[in-house]
Amino acid sequence: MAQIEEKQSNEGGKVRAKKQSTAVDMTPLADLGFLLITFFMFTTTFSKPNVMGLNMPPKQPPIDNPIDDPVIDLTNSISIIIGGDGKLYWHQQDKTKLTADQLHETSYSKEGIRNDILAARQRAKTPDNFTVIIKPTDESTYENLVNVLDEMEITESSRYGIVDIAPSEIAVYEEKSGTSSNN
Amino acid sequence: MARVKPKRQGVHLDMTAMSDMAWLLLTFFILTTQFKKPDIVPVTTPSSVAETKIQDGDLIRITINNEGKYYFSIIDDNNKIPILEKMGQKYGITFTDAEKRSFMKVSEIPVRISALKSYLNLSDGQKQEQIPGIPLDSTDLQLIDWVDFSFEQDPDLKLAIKGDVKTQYPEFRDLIKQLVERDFNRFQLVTSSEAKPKN
Repeated sequence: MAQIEEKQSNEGGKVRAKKQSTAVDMTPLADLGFLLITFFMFTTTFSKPNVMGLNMPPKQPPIDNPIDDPVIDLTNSISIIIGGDGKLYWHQQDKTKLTADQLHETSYSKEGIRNDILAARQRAKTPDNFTVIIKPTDESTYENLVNVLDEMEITESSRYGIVDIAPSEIAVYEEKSGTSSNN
Repeated sequence: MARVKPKRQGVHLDMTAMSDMAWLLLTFFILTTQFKKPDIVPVTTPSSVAETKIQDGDLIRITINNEGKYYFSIIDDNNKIPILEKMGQKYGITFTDAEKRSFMKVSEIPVRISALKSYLNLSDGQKQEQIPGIPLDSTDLQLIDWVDFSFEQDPDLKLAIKGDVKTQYPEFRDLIKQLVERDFNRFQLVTSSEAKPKN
């Protein structure tokens, strides 16, 4: 106290209150802010899952007198058989006349089914009518199906359908997958 | 003579601007964040190139887990109680107010309707262990009834199906078959996103 008085007397001026700086240390405030930001960034759900539309044909009333199937040009359609263990097959035959030699094995890779679909569409006599028929077997998984549906999107095949596999095709598929697993 | 020492400069930065920015961002995150309701059933969805984002509003969802069990979710909170009441009416079960409140918190209905009442009275911890799924076979089509009553309540609903990577196809096919049987033909398959290949 004595010192202060001395100082004041030296200056000889008016008695002034010392100016206190009003600068508050903002560092903890900034720290806290960033901490909370981090928390909210990790808990927030920005990326919503995507959805893929799937329309199934409406239920058909049973037909009393089934008319003969119209003649279908087989080049205008491709049947994809989804097997178990990530196996994938395709053919362009009538389901009753299919043989193991005509069932081609392919894969989910870019060079696999995608090229096969595109090539089949090139060969189609009327590409506008080109239809992909998806036939999952009982061993296939939901993921396999979604992957194939995905290929429909990528290859821009707008005409496709999911159909139950015919018993004759199952027989050929089992023959084919049996022989291919022995190799 | 003493050396002239440079005056020590304090390295005080003005943190005000930084703090302002931090709190501004914080406000943004607080306002945009939506806390995800905990999923009772863990499901890994397959990825697809589909670009449509899921709409949370008018949505009901059927979840199929890797064991092929079915779960039903009503996403819109406003529809939950009316649908529950309709289901209760059909199966002759009346729910108390406390059970309805408990139902509001359930994100996925994991039990058959006859067991739902006792399920709703369980504590949160016990609920985690009770996930036997909703039956779906030719004799017991409760799951389809849930869908039916949901559309009766709100015809604009969309039906999403969330399957696990390991779900076997027959389980998915059975579900689709039963739904098509009741004239529900439009589905949305929930997938995670994946980049579309360029070529």
